[in-house]
Amino acid sequence: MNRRQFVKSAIFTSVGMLFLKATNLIAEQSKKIIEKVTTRKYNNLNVSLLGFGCMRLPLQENSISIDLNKTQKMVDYAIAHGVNYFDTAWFYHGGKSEIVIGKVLKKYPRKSFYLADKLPLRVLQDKQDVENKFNEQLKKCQVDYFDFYLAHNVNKREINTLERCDVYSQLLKKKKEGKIKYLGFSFHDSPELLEDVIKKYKWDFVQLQINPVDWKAVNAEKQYEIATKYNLPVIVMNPLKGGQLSTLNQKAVDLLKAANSKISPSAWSLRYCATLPNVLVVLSGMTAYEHVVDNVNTFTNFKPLTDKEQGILSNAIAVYNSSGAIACTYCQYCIDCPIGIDIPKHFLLYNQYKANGKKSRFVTGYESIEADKRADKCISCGICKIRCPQKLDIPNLLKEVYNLYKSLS
Amino acid sequence: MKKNKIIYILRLAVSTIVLIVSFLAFTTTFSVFAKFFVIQLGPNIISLVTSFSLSVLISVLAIIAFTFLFGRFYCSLICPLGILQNFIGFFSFKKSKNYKNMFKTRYVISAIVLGALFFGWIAGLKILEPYTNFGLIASSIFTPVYNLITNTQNYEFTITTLIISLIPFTILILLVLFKRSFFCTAICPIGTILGLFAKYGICRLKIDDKCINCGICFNTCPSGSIDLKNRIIDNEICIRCLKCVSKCPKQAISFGMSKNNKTSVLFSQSRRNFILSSTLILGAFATGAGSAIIRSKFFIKDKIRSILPPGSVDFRRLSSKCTNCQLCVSLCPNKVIHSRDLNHSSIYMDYSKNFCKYDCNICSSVCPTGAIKKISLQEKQHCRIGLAKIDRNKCINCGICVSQCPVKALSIDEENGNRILQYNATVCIGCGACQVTCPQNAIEIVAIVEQTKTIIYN
Repeated sequence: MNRRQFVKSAIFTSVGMLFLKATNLIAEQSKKIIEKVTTRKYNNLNVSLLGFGCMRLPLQENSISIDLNKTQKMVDYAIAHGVNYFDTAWFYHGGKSEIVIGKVLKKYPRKSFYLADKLPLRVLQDKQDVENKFNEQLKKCQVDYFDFYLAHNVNKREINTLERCDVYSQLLKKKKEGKIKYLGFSFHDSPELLEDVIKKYKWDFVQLQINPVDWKAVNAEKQYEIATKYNLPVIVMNPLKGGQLSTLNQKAVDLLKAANSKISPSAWSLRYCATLPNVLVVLSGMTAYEHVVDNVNTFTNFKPLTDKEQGILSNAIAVYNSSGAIACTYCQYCIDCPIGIDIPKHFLLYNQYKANGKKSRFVTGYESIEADKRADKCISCGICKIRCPQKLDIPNLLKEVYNLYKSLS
Repeated sequence: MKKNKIIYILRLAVSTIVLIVSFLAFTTTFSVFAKFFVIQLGPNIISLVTSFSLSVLISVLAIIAFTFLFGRFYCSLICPLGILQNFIGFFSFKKSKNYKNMFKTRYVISAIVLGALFFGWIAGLKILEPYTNFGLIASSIFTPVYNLITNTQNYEFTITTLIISLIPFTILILLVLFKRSFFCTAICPIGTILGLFAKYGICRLKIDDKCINCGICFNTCPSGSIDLKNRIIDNEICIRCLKCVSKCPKQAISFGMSKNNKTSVLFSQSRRNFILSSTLILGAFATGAGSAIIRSKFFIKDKIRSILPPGSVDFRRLSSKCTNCQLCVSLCPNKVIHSRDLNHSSIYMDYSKNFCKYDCNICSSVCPTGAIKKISLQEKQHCRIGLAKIDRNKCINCGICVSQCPVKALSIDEENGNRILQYNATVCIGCGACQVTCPQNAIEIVAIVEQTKTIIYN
């Protein structure tokens, strides 16, 4: 090799290496400028406005078990985009939600996310059970403490459980030990009861069901006002009413698309909730990767709804309300029907029919339910009515679904 | 009288008492007799495999240790079917044929049965387990007879149950008359398990030098365990009926410690034989296991969803443990538990004539296999087994059911002079008291998916 050749090759090599380095740098740079979702301040915490709900995780095909890989991908995407609030509970996915979210979050440093879990008031047997359930939850989630901890679904019935099992003082003890950072409760009952509960015990936050449909329909407005009055930040659950508000019906979607063709119907409702100033987190139970991407987009550089947009949304909701859908959020709390009737499935079929009007799809859907689990087997025992956070008169609604089936088939 | 005769008569006396107690457990309504079935090996093994409990383990270990020390006395003293065969055997005058150890048959049978059991299917034991067969025979053949004699009504007599129990009974009689203890030595899986321990057992029956080769013992032995040529009694299949001891004219057969381990030869013959036999047995085990798995995947279905006795939890659990021995059916004071039939693939409850008594948990306390879980009376009183379906078109709001309901799930509300029946399902346990008393047949108890605790709110 002569000198000339040597110099040539040396220059080529160094240029090549520089090029590689540059692409690398650019790639890193582009990673760094991933836009993060908007956060809100709570004491010294920076909580993402979008919360990751764990009640509707993706399922494996034809199964009721959670798809771990899909969940991991969704959570990875969410965390990369700054989502840091995760909300699970004892009852979700038949107790599997806590385990899965524990596994999925394992690889992230504990301080990088906020985990919320809930005490299952409904199944508490005695005082000791509070301690047992709490410790089991820590174990299932593979953590040492919960950032947010809630008494699950305080209502007329469970308020007695709070006293009977001495729940509050035990949880307060946990808070002093540092195993709970902030203590709150989730709530679906009347505004009067909400005020009673807030007055009776000292809470740090409250979780309410808020969405454009329920704002007037089930007193969400009053509940929000009470929470604000007592200075409790609100965590919003069911902002999309179990997905109903992300599909709406054709007419309502057309109205929204006419106003802004770029954003999805779910974005409208989520923004509606996040526009309220006292809202800390808007939880969304995302079932698919696309949902996460869409929601992250909605909350990146979050813009509150303008007055004009509020008007458009309320028009669309009015159109949707007139379609006669059942106000079920498919939360599955009624799934332990003693007779085994798959209640949420019935309501989903009914609502889909009300939204798209496809008769054959409703009939085949109904007939795909096992004969033992169909609406006509209902004996009106009313156990589901106690479970339902939406206070639906399930036995009568089931009759309605059955009548619809009879009239269509 | 000679000492040997006394031992034999003593053995007979104990057997008779046990047999009578076993019969009384099924024919009368006193649950005390059923306590005896705590030490039945078959049900014990089922409950040990399907749900572990210390007391059952102790019982199993005790039986096995006893068998290892003294031989298969279990078969002639505790097993009700063994004793029953023994008594039927008095009518058999067939002499023993040549020494023949049916080891392949019995090992293959028990391997299949146990293979299926370990993978959750007890069909094999349902058919072959001696206690269950005794239960079937006693409850559906002898109870009706007993009822006729004493003029009582303890058992719901149906043709189906009669046929179900007559089949094993006739087969058993034929076997005993023509093949003596063929069932105990070649079929019974419980006997096979005990035999394995007895084979290497410590105390045995021995033939000593006083023997004159008269062959009387050989002819009386029901299990064909006596090898005259070598003067050996095969401890593996000897069921300790002690007939040979009492019949021997020279009193040459005695019972005591023995170092002589020469018995039937399965594994020691040759390598070829050993490999063949073990493949056969492993294959049989795999067949049983495989069929159990296939069944649990594809074939488990309840024909009609039915109400199950409190403690059964759900149909899947019950059907994987219940051998249909009829003990609960016989002992239920209100006779609401019924034997399986063509429409029901397990025991079920029927409220058409009577209801489940509120302060009673006999079925759960006697069940020897744990198919009906042991639950305390308090647990039973909060165990929901069904729910009431009220036909509002038929109901006349008379309120008779209200007074019958033990958990106060029913009440009459009076609004503006209108009486309306209110039903609080959260406390209802589905006992059926309302269904039975309703004059309009407006209430029907409906089976539920899984038995749950009713929650008590203070």
